[in-house]
Amino acid sequence: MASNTIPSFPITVEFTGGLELLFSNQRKHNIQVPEQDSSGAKTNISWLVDHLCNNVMKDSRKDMFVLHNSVRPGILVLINDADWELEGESNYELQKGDSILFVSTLHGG
Amino acid sequence: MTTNGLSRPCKRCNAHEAALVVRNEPLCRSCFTIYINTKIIKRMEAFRTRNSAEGHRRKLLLPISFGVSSTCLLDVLSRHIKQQQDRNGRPGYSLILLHVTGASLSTSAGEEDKNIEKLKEAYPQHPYFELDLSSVYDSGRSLDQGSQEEAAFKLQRLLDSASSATSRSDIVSVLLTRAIVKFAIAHECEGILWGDSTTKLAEKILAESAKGRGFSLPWQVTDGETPYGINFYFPVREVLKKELLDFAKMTDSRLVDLISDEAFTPAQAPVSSKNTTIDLLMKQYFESVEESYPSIVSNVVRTSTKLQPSVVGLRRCKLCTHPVTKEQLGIESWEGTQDSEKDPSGDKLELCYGCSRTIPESAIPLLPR
Amino acid sequence: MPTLCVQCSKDRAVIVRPKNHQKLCKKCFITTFETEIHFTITSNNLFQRGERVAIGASGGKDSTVLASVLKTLNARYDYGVELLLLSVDEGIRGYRDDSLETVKRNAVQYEMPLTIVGYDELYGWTMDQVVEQVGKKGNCTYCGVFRRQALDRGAATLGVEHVVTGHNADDMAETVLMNLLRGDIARLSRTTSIITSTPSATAVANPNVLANIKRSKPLKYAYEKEIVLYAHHMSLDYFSTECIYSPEAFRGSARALIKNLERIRPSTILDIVRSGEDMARLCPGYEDNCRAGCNTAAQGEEEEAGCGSSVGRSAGGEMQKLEAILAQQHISEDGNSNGHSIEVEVKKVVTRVSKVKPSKKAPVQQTVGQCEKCGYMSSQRVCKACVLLEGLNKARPKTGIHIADGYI
Repeated sequence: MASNTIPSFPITVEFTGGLELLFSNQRKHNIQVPEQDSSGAKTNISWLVDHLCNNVMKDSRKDMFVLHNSVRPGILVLINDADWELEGESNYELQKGDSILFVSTLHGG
Repeated sequence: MTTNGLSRPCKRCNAHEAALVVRNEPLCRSCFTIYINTKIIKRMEAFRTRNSAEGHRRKLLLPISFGVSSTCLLDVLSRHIKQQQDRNGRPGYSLILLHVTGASLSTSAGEEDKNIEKLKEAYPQHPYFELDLSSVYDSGRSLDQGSQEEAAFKLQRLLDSASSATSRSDIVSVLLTRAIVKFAIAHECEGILWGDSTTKLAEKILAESAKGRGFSLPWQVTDGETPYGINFYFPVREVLKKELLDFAKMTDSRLVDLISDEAFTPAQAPVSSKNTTIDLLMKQYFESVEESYPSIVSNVVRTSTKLQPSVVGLRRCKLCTHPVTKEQLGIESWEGTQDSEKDPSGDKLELCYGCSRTIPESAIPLLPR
Repeated sequence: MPTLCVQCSKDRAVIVRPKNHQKLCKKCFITTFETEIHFTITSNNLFQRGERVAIGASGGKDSTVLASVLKTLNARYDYGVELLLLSVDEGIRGYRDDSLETVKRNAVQYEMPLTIVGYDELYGWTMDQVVEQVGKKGNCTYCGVFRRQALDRGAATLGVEHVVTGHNADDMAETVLMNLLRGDIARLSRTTSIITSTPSATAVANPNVLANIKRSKPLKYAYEKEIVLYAHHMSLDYFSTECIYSPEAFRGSARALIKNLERIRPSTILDIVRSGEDMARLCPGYEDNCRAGCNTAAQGEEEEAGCGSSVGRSAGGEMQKLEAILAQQHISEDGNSNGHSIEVEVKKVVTRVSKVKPSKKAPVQQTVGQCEKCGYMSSQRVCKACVLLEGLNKARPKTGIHIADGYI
């Protein structure tokens, strides 16, 4: 079997606006990100979203986070405090020390 | 087709086995056909034979898209006219058919030709015309090659000025209406018979609201006068789209052959792309609402059509041509834009709020007159 | 290569404005956001110098941002208004506890006096107790009616005549679509008015006091996304709970549509509000009822945005209910296929559903009386809250209002 020495780096992922409820009520998560995904390409937000859905989310309501393979409309994604639209959205390639924030705008107030 | 496999008798005639369930009633094929015909003919009251003077032909334009609705409408009205003829010796109205090319972004030209020939064969009694969408640019009667090409070029430039798929789609549908109206008026038609089903009207109500054109809804979905200078009628307004689909498959006339294949494909593909259009979004939405909550769809149309058209404004939007007051022009003239530095006189603005979302002011010179 | 802010051209752009795709830096965004709300306030003359204004505070993002912005603008532009925080405790354990703690913190953070009115002291029932009584379906009706009165009553006890709420552009757009889907065009005018008014209890006690409590929505044209971004970049303290609007409820359906529309064309949120305003003017009876400022009492209760609480979202079935009602009505209108007439008990419902043509005779001057039971201002003999309470107290939750308003 292949060894477990895929180089990886840490990033922080944060959930607010009610999203944290899908992730065991934990707002901040430290995630180890492999430098490459299974296809050999650099890991990007797409990969991260999949990973969070499959490995980190404890709640079964996946569709509150992801819809049709992309982040659900109504959820803001900030990459190092900047709107992900400015960084290439799901194609943004993750880097060491990145801080990714997922905020849900769908709640009362 | 929804054969319910329950072997129930038809609720109306009690004689035959029901072929499908319509609004909680099991109906056999012929009762269903009668039901649909009745729903449509009921709305043609104004065009009974007795309402037309002897020798005076009341002409109505029926735009044909080769979609389900307009084709079904054609079938029902053809039968109706013949009935009138048989009963009264003369019909109450006559139809002119018009097909506009270049407006549908999907049907291939080859298939369009096939359908046209079949249509002419099936309904030879109605004069049939064809027009290209770019004809909306024609000022005079010159139909030479040169001016046709020029018109097509102008149309393309206009479409290119739009920044999104939804804006392009919007331009096409607004110009389509204008082209049809222009033709109808030129051919002295009294009114235009649109094939919009209940479902389509509900889609329109929400789509136009989403585009900021709520103010013009009464003119787009109710029967009667319009600022275009010609009456609009929607005889199919009480029939749901899914009922029409069933009707097309069940009538004796081979309607299915005339209808383009894609018309039978549900628009159910997931809407996740930014490149989809507002119209398509609403189409998908109501297709699913219609499935489980058909009365809600009818209710949307019934109540929204109680809106009364606004007092006629003096100016006209350069794209959709609806009358607007000065306050309704442009985006700036509304607190929603929260911009304290807006043009107070509003004199330079020539597009209504909704249309200013579709094309930039700079594209106004590209519009047809 | 980072994009520069289009306004100052100096700092890195971190925000893309949904309304126009403008790329702004943090500072410029904050200034622009605040300035636009200031414009909304001044162009609609929302505030009068010396006025006491109560901010309906839930601890959520909208009311927190509202409080923060109003405090800033009041100081910056010298509105001269006195700002207070007013909070309602419905008595929903786990939900309100946390949000009330947030409001208490907000009161300290923004240096504003806070008043909390509880359902138990007002009505003798907390929402938890109501849910125990009536179950999770339809309890939102109670919450809505009670909360509406609670805010008004709370304001009245403080001697305040103006309440501001954090309704944003997304809420407005959602409500417009919702009303179109429910066939309730009569509500459109109220939905889109930035100021509405309702009878107040104080008028009887002191005839010199204005008879109405004004309600306004300064955030009416602010995008929800921008409110969230503002709160984030200003590090504001707010409480959020998960949103579980069922897609089978009208609001859930409308919400999903709004979010999809926003993706296709971000301006649709404002475009829908605009359409709603225009269509309101086309409603039959608009002239009589709304010209002189929207009088809520003349047309029934105002829409509550809903609390988003998990306590009792009418778990689906809302659309199903209306469908069933309409289908029955359709049959009785169409006539039965076999020639038998179907007796349908739709009296109350028919009144509700066919309310789309509000009587042109509806008076602008609403004859306001007093509720027989509690003395609260009401256009009915017994006010809505008392009707519901009567039911609760008799352990009979089903009332006529319950059926008719089943789709709140």
